[in-house]
Amino acid sequence: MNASRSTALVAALLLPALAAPLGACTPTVKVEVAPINIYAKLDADVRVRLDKEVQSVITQNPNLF
Amino acid sequence: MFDVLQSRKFAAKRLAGAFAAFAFLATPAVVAVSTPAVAQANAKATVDAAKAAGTVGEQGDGLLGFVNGSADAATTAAVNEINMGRRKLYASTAAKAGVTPEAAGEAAAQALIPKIPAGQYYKPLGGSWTKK
Repeated sequence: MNASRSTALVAALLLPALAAPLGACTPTVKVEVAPINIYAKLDADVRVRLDKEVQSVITQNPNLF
Repeated sequence: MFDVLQSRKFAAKRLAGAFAAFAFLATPAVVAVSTPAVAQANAKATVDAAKAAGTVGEQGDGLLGFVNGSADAATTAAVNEINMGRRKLYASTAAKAGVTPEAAGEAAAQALIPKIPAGQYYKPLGGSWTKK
């Protein structure tokens, strides 16, 4: 009886100590997975329309491209 | 009589000086305001030379960048001039297509980078400067 009580006490003391480092790691992982290419995430039809617009802008502004 | 003549001469000299100063001050302002196309064409020529020299290149965001991190004053001014004009175009294109200006810039880079002549540098998104 006494032995099982002390085991429970030890477990109660240890659990937060184990959980704390796990919680601290989570945000670090999120930061590493940052989106790089916005263009690639566009819907296909939006991308086609954007490509057409961009192409005409490039040919109409030879001083800038 | 002599005094009057001298002071007239002096006044004429001052007037001429004032005119010269006015012309000097007014000329650059007129050039900058009335002909942005000429300024852009000059900037384009400077940038093309810098691209050929390997100091300036196209980036994955659709803007020009410095291959070595920086360049001389004339090249920097030219790059800023072109990038400013491009940003305006990306903003208006993005508004038309219903996307962000960043997406429009990336779309422009997709079109520009394949056209880069061999030997010049480009920097893909999230990558480093690469010689084509």
